Amino acid sequence: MSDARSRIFARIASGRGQALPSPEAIAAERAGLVPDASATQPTFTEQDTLARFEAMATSERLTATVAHIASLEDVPAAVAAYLAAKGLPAEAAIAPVLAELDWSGVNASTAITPNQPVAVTLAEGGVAETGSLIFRSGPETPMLHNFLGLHHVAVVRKDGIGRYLESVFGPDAPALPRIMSLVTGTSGTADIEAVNIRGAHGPRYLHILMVAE
Amino acid sequence: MSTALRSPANFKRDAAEAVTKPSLKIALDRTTGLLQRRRVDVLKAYPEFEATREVAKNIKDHTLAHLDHYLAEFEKNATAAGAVVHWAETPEQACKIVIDLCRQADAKSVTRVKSMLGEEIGLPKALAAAGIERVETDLAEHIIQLADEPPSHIVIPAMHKTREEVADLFAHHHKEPKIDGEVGTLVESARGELRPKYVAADVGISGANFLIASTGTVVTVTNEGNAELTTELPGMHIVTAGIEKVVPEPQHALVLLRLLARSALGTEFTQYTSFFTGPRREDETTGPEAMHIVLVDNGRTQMLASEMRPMLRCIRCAACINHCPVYGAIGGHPYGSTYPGPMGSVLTPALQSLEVAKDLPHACTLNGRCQEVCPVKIPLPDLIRSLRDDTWRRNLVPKPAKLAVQAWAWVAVRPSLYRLVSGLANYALRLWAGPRGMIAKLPLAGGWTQGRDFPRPTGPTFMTQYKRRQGR
Amino acid sequence: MTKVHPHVGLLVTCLVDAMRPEIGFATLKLLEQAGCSVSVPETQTCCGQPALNSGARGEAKTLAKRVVAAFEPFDYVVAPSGSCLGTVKTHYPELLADDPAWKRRAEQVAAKSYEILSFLSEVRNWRPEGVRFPAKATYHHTCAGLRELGIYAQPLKLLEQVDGLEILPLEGETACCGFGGTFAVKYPEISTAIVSDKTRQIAATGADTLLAADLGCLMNIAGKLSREGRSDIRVFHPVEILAGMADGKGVAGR
Repeated sequence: MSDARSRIFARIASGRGQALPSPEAIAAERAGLVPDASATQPTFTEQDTLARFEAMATSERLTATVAHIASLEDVPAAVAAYLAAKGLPAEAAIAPVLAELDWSGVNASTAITPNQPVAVTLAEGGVAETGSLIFRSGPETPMLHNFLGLHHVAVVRKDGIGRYLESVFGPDAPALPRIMSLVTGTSGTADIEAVNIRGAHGPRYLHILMVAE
Repeated sequence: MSTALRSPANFKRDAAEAVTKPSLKIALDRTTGLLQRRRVDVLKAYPEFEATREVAKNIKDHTLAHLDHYLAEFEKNATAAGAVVHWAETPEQACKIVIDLCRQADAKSVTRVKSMLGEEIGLPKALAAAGIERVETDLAEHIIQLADEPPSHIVIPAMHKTREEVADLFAHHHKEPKIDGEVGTLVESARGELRPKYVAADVGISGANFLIASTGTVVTVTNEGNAELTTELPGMHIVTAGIEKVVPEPQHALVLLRLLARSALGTEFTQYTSFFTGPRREDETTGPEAMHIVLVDNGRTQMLASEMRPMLRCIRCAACINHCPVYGAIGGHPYGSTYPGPMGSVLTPALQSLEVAKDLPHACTLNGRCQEVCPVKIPLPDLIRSLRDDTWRRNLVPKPAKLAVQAWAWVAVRPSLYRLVSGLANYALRLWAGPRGMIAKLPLAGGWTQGRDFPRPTGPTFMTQYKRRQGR
Repeated sequence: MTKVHPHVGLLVTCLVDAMRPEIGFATLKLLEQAGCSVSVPETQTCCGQPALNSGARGEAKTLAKRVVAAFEPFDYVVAPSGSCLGTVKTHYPELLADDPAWKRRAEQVAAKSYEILSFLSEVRNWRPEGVRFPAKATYHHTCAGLRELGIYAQPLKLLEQVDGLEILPLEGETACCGFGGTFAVKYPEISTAIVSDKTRQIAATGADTLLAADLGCLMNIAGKLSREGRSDIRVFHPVEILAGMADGKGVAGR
C-alpha cells in the first residue's frame, strides 16, 4: 500500500469530517440511488423492441444498414450478397465463432489485417434504446475484428436484443469479459467544425444481419 | 500560442488578443452553434432529461460522500481482474508512474486516446521528455499535436480550427495527404496516416469516463473507435483517471451515459462505449497482457473538503463550455488550462492555484446558462461567486477595484450622502454629454466606451424627481 | 395575501435612479393601474449586487440587511429589474444564512418580492388596455430574470395586448448580452465581442425597437447599437411601453 494511497484516503476521510457509515448503511443508500430506472429511460412506447432497434441503427446518424435472415446458416450467403452489392471482392475476415459455417461462396479467414476491407463478427445481442450492438471479447470473439474493417458485417440474433441499456447488465447477464463494447452505428467524428463524418478510425460501413431464430 | 506560454495568469492579455482573431470567431460560431442546436433537438425526444439529471446528481453525491469506500471497492475488484492499481497525489507522481511503466515495457512509441486528465497532469510533455514517441489517435488531438497547440475544448480539442486550417496542417505533415475542401476527405487523410501507427505502438494510454467499483471496470466512450484500437493492439494498457470518476455499479454508469452524449454532442449515445475489466485472459490470444490503472488526486481531495465539492460531479460533457458566451468569444486557450469555460474557471483555481487563476472566476457574466444545461446540476455560478469571495478575502482583487467597491458600499449605507453623490454623478454625466444623447468617451469608464457609447442620464435622479412630484 | 389594494414597496434600483428615472415612474404608474398603493422607501440605495458579484460579501451583507429592513413592512417588493430582484429573492437568504434571525427575515422578504412584469402578469393579473405603440419590436430575455426568476412568457403576454406592437423573433433571445455588471468594465474586450453578436442578431430581425427588462443590459445593447450607428433601432424597457411612456427618447438616445 503506497504512501500516496494512504494520504489520499486520509484526506478523503478528514474532508468528510465524520466517520464513514457502516457498509450496510452505504449499501442501503446505494440501493436507492436509482429508485426507478424507467424514469431515466427514453420512452418509445409506439415502437416494439425490434422495430426501435432497427430504426435507431439505420437512422441518419448511425448509418447502419440491416438485412434479415432466417438462421445463422444463412450468414455466408448474406455476406456474399452484401459484398456483391457493394462491388467488393468475395473476401472477408471472420470471427472464429463463425468459422464453422459453410463459407464456400466467400474467401473467409479468421486472420485479420490492419487495413482489413471487410470483417464479419457475431454480436452477443443488442439494445433497442440506442441501436447498439453488444460485443464481448473472448477466444472465439476477438475484439479487433469489430474495429479494423472498413466494412463491418455484424450478426445478431433477434432474441438477444434487449429494450434498454439495463438489459446488458441484468441479473442473468454473464460476468463482464475483458472488454465489452457497445457499438452504436459506424465510427464517426465531429472534430472538425462539428461536422459529422463516418469512418474516422473504425468501420465506415456497418451492415447488421438480424437472425430470426 | 505554444504550450509553454500558457498560463491562466495571462488570461486578460490572451483573451483581449483572442477576440481580435476572425478565424477563431468563425470556428467557434460554427461549432458551438451546431452543438447547441443539436442538444436542443436531442432533448426534445428525451423528456426524461430533468428526472435523470436529479438521479445523476444523487449518484455522484452519494459516491463523493463515500469516495474512500468506493475507491477501495474499485481497487479490490480491478486487482482481482488482474489489473494493477497505482495512486498518485500529484501530476509529477502520475507522470512518473506512467513513464516508469512505459520503460518497463521498453516502449518506443505509445498511442493515446484523448484524456483530459492526461492533459491535466502534463503527460504529453512527460512522454516527450522521456524520449517516447506519442501518437494522438483522437482526430482533434491529432490535429493539435500537428499544430503543436494545447486543446481549446475538452470534447472537441481542435474547436478553434477551421477546416481550412486543418487542411494546411495535413498538407504539411501527412505522408499522403488528401485534401479537397471537404471535411470528409480530411478525415480520410487522418485515417490513412494513423492506421500503421496503431499497429506499431508498444503501449496504449487511455483515460476513463467512469470507473465502476462493483466490477473494477474502466469505461471509455469515443465516437471514433480509437480507444479500442489504441488499447487492443499494444501489449500494455495504461489508464489515467481522476479519483472522482468512480461510480458504484454499472447501472449508475448507464444513467450518466444517457446524459453524457446528449449533453456533449446532442446525440443519444456515443458510438463506442467500452467496458474494460482487467488484461488479456488465459483463453485469449489478443489484447494487452498488462493493464495498469493510475488514479490521480491532484487537488481533488481538497475540493472534496471544500465548497467546491459539487464540481467533482462533473462528467466532462462540456455543455457549460458550449453555452458560455465568454468561451464563445475567446475560445479555450486564454484560460491557460486544460479546462476552459465555466467548469475550467472553477477547476483551474483548485488544480493550479487561485493566485495564478485569480482572473478566471471574474471573467464571467453570471448569466447562469451553464448551470441550466449542466447534466449533473453543478451550481457553477454559485461556485464562481464563492471563488470571487476568496479572491476578495485573499487580496487577489486589484487594489483600485477593491477600493472602489468599498468606497461605493460605504456611501451606499448612508442614504443622504448617497443621494448627494448619485445626484452629482448624474449631473456631471449630463454636463459631460451636453446636448448629445450618448457619450462616446467617458473619463474613468474607458473600458466601457472603448467599444460602446454610454447613455446620458435622461434627467435628474429618480429620487430627486420623485420628491419634487410629492411636493417636497 | 389577497388584499384588494396591496401596499407595494418600489425598489427603484440604483441604475434606474441615476440613469433613467422614466423606468421608475413607468413602474410606479403601472403598479397604481394594477390597483396597488405604492411607496418608495427613501432609505433605499442599492441592493448590493455589485458587492456580491465582486466577492465583497461583508459589504453585500450590510446592504442586504438594509434592504430587508426597509422593505419588510410592505405586502410586496417590486423592482423593474430581474437582476436586482434576483439578488433579493435568490441571494439574500443565502447571503444571510449564518444568522438565523436575519435569514428568516430575508426569506420573508424574498417570498414577497417580484420583478415588475411577472408581478403585473401573475400576481395582479393585470392587462394593458388602450395602450398603443406602433412598432416592430424584438425582445431580449435578460439572464437573471430568465434563469433566477423564471420570467419568459410573462412580458410577452403583456406586450401582446399593446396595439400596433409586433414582436419579431430574435435568434439567441436567451443568450447573454455580455453586460454582467462589473464584467462589462473589467473585461471590456470580451463584453464588447459578446454584445456584437447580440446587436448583429437584433439588426437581422429588421425590428425598429429593442425591448429588454433590465437597464444594465439595455445600456450595454443600446451603447453598442449607438456605436455601430444603428440609429434606426430604439431601445426601451417594456414598462415604458406598457405605461404609455415611450414617447420620448429611448435608451440609445433616440
